Amino acid sequence: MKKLMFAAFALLLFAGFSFTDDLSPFPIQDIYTPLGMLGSGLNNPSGIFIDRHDRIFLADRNNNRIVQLNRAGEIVQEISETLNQPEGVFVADNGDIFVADTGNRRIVRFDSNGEYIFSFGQPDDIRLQNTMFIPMQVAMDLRGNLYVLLLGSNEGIMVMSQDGEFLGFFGRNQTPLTFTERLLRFIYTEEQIRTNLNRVAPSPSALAVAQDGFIYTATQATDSGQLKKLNVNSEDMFVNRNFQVSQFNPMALSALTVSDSGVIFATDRNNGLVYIYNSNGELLAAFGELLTGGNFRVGVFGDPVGIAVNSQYELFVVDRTYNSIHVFSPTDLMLNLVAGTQMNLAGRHDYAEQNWNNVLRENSFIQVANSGLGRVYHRRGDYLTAMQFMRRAVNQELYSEARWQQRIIVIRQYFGIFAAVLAILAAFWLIFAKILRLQIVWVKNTTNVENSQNKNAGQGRAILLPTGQNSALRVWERPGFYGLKNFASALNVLKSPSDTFYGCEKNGGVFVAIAWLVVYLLAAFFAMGLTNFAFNATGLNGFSLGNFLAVNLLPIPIWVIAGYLVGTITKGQGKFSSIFVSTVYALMPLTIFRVPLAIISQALTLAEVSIYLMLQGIMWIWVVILQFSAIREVQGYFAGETIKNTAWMLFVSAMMIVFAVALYGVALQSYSFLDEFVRELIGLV
Amino acid sequence: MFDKFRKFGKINKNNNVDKLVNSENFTKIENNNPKIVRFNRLKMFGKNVLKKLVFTAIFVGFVAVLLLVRNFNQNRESLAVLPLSPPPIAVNSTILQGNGFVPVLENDNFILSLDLDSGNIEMYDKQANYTWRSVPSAEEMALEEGNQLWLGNLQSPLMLTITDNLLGVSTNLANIHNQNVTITARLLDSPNEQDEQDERDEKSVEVNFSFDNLNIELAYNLTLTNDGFILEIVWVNDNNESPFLVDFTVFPFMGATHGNSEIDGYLFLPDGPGGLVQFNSNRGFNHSFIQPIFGRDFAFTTDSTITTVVENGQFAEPIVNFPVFGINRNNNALMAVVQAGEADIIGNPAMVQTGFNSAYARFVYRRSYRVLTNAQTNEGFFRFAETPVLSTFIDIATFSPLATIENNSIRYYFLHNAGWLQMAQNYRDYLAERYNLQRLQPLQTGQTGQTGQRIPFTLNIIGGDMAGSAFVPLTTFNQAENIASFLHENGITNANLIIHGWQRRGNSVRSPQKYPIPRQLGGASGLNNFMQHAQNLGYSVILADNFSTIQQTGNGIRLRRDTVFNAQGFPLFGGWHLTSTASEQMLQREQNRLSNANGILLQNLFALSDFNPNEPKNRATSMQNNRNFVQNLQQIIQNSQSIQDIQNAQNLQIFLESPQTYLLQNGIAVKNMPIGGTNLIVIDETVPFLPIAFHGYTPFFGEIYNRISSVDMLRALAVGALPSFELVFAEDFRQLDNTILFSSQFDRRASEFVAVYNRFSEVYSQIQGKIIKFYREIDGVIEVHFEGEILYVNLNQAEIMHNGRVIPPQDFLLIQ
Repeated sequence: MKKLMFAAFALLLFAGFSFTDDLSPFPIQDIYTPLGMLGSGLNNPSGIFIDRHDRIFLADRNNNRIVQLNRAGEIVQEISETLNQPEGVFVADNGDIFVADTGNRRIVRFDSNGEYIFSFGQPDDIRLQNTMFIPMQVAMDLRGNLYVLLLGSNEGIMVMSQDGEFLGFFGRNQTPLTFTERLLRFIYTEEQIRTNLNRVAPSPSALAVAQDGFIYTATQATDSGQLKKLNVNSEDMFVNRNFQVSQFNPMALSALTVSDSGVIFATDRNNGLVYIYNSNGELLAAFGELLTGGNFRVGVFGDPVGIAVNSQYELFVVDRTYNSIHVFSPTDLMLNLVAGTQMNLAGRHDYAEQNWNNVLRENSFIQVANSGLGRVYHRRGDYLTAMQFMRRAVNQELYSEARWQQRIIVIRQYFGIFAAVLAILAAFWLIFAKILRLQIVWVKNTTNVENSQNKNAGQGRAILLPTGQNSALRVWERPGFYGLKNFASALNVLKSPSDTFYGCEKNGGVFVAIAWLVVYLLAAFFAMGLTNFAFNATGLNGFSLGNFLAVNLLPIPIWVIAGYLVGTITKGQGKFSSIFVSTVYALMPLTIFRVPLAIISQALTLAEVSIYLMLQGIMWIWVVILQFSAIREVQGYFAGETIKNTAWMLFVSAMMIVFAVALYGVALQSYSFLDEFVRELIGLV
Repeated sequence: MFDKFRKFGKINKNNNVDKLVNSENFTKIENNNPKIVRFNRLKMFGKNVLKKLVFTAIFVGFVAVLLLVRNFNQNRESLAVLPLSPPPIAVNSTILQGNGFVPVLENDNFILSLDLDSGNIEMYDKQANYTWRSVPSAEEMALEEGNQLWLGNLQSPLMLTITDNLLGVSTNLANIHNQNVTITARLLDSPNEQDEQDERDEKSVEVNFSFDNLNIELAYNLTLTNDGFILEIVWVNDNNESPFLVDFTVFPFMGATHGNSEIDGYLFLPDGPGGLVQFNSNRGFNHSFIQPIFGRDFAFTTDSTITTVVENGQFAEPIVNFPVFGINRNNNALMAVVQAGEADIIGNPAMVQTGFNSAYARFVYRRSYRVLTNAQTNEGFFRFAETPVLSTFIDIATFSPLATIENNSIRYYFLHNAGWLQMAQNYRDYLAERYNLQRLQPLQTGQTGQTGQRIPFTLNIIGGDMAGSAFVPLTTFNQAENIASFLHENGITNANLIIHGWQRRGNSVRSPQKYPIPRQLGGASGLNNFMQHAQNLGYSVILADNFSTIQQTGNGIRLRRDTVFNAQGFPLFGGWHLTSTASEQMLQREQNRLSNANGILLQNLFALSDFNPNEPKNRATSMQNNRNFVQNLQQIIQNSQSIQDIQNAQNLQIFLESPQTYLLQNGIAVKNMPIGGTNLIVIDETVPFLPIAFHGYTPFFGEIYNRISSVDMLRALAVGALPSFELVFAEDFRQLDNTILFSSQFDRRASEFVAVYNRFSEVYSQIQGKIIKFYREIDGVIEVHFEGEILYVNLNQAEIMHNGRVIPPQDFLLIQ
């Protein structure tokens, strides 16, 4: 459903996206307003840097210069001395300007007036034999070390002292091996591994040093760790997380900047987006559009290569396609969003509340705001409200946490009443059970005169019923209610499976099985709706009958047909009907216990997820055992045969699915071929 | 059935037939036993039959494909067009003879001179003592360093794009200097079509261009008016042979100004509400403004990735809503309105195309389109349409033309002491005159604002939508009644309640399966009760409905018969549009269901060419049909209303989604007036041209209040774009298929909306029906003069002193 929704919105003029917890985008109102384009006469501009005084520095690559622009885009300072295609610029707190002089393969330092101080090239170090010193970007951390991003360096970022002394490499990307590559490692010789499995780490594409001392890198063409927040030990605070947004093209972060407050802005050149993350790496929002064709607009990105943000959160995106800089000003929504999340992270929840309320006033969908406000209430001890907001935010973890707290409160509050009610119920049971003569009895068919014709001799069931002779409740004992009786007798599968499966298709067993199948589907449906939000966030939202039946019903006929086919080629005795009935009966644990389990889940929180999973596991193992027993009983196999044939059944089921998919694919292909053929023919005439 | 198979299998197994078959004995038996031999023959025969059948099937399939293709071709043949006949030469015509510029037409304000050698013109404005030229003056040409082709184009009154091959994409530019051309000029005593509305003079001049080597002919006619002239293309033809005509521009460099000249000014282009390109502003972006009037014609857009329908009131791409462009040169202004014809409006900043800043309308003769060969991968190739867009389609049954085509024409205005504001005011008068629009009645505002009439509180209410396969009721009709009561209790006497998502599947309605109205909302009776209730409170109810697009067939709609086809001969890819006839039929079928509504919000109404062989038409015809449709709908609504209702509804029966100017008439309101630009980088400044042209005549709304910032709201106020709000009753954070909800829950926002309305309605009520005489924005303060009132709007975060009056931050001030 979400996919559909996005398909519908993809072309709309909404500049903003917010995201669900699983990083699915949905449209929101503008978070940034396009103001216009900045700069004229630029030629292949590259890195941009905004210093503490909101001065804008730009590496104007093909004009071989560094320019300082004012807010109107006019050049107020120009450094072109001896530079050759500089790509990166950084301004230290004292105003000194560091330039990654890419064409000259060196780092140059200028003072604030643009006077040359000194420069250095490749450090003379034995460890750098294989390293090409082609600096793309440069930044300085709080201790005064320089971080230099080198072109195509798979060693990571080069750390240097201010004098150009090599200190080491930093933030090297990992080279994860795929499954096949792991396998090949076993097979290949040393030589082959060296030549064929020589995976080099992707080199970072962007670099930023934040006020909090962390170093941020961005990497393109990688499946995880696209964005990294590295401490001085080169440990990634984002633990190599995958930042890929679903339904978008694979992300390619081309530029990166971090505001003074720790908000991360990154451009994605594959999707034409600017992502905005809080300092925990949570995606707050995104905006922008990819340039396709000739719609050259502010906010439609061609090749974003640099990004910078000033103290007012105004955003500057350098775009090579335009030879210019897109400028955006933040909306109130954006400012509140940023303030809220940073206040939350700083633990100043009371301040955050106002921001989050402002955000939600404008858009009640935004999940980060809902979970942010949930955190505020959680901290305040209002767990019920917190739960409500976490539910809106689809944040199962924090929801469960709030629920845990709430449960403690409830238990504490109502423990007395709860105990009293239990005691009273127990007393009632003791007193009235005697009077009503309610007891659990084992009803044998043979004991029943009216049912003497029933051929299911030996069948029985455990039920709770009044044993009084003329009880009106004993309807199933009467003639004309065999159906109901047979229906109930299917429950015996839980107690004595073999007996039940034997001859189960007789006496209208097929109809009983169909009835149970309906019950099974209903149970599946209700379990879906009743399960605790913490365990199943989807619930019945976006319920689709087709999907539901495909998951819950379709496997049954496939399994039955597979069973029948395997049975015919082996010496199975099972008839089609008996296989069907036994399969449905074998699902009984699910049919009976799914709904109770869902109800039990309501009392649990994520802390007790193991209990929930265990109960669910028992249920499923039970089903598997019953299925196994059903096959053995119905087909009359020995145990060994059963295992073999069950394996065959699995294989046949899989083949059936594969065949159906293939057939569908072939049909589609041949249709589209014909279609294409006709169209091309018509187009030509 | 399965048991039988099973038995068979068992027998097989028990009798060991497999072994027998594989043994060598069996072959021997086969050779000897006559029965087996016969069986074998039978088998061979069977095989042959099968083979024959397969071959026959392949053959039949091939023939079927051929027939299919032929059939499509026949369809295309039936689209053949009536050749345009050249205009009759007027009786009182005299051929002009001589050389160089000759004054040919004159009235009180202008003298028009024609260059008999080239067909260029000079327009002398007597009052301003200023001359407008169709080609740059010699001084300005001296600044140009173009190549031969463009130097030729710059000095030509005509610029043609031609192609040798319709199946290619390569084109050439032709002008009178790089081709052999015979130019004949005639003076006509009476114009071809006497049109009293245009205040035209009797006399006109007609210039005929015959490109001998290209076999292309073109003739334009010029008639003076009080404020300029009307250019009409009376004849254009490429004789349907190579080289083919692709498009043509008359006077492409009229008013063009060289970037290096001293002349100050700007181009005016129809981007969003109106955009300016300053003469000195080219920052090396190298981009032009090229936009088709009224957006792309989807019949020529065979791109499977492009949506051709509106979703959520938002369209996939910004479109040009008004066919106007202009040039301001040193306080003199030229404004041109494309009155008829399929055209692209083009604005070129200096140094993009030539050294000149220029703006013009390029008439399309053949649209190019892509032959889509694979809808899945969106592969295809480009070609030019065989059928010119100007063509008159013939009804193949009667061989009579299906529509008469208005000649392409542009009305030029020459204004002095004028800029974009005066252009807007002239365009306002043009619209009022052309579409016979009445001024809106100013409201009788009371002293306190409470007792007097106020503008309506316009509220969008969403009924329901789908989430997957589940219908989600957002506001039941009962709850909508509660909303109406709430408004009434809060002193709102006048409201438009626009109901969305009231049909089957709510906002995700799959037309034509629109009914029944979901019972979860209250069904048809619930809707009726709600309308009754609202109307009793004095409110008018507007239903959002769509008679133009369908999502599925059925209900008497057939895809091949009833939908618009693209140039490739298929129903449109990005969404199916109904043909005009089918739309009308749908309206006829459903009109009874709408009879209680006070108005209809028309969704998805586009003007498209149609290549459906049942009903072929070009875009101009389609526009005329759309106009007729809107008129019919308005009539239906009016007929079903009592006088009481009409008073309540302020006589607004039709709400349009966007300001498509060709649909304007009395009783129409526009729901989404663009206030901001579309951020095209070629545009330097966005100006409220269109709102100013509309204000006082056609009510229009800005973006829904829920979706805009406070600054946007103030900007909307400054141009008189009415506020509208959106509410739902249910919780609003659910993920729905087709509805964008921001914050719209009734409990949370209703009171706030009433407060916002109360804050703004007084100003809106006082400026209702008054035209905008002056508009200026300086440093975040907007000053607007209406007839008698001056409105100051402060967009800044700080308060502003203006003429001794304080305007609080982000607030406004209205002075009588």
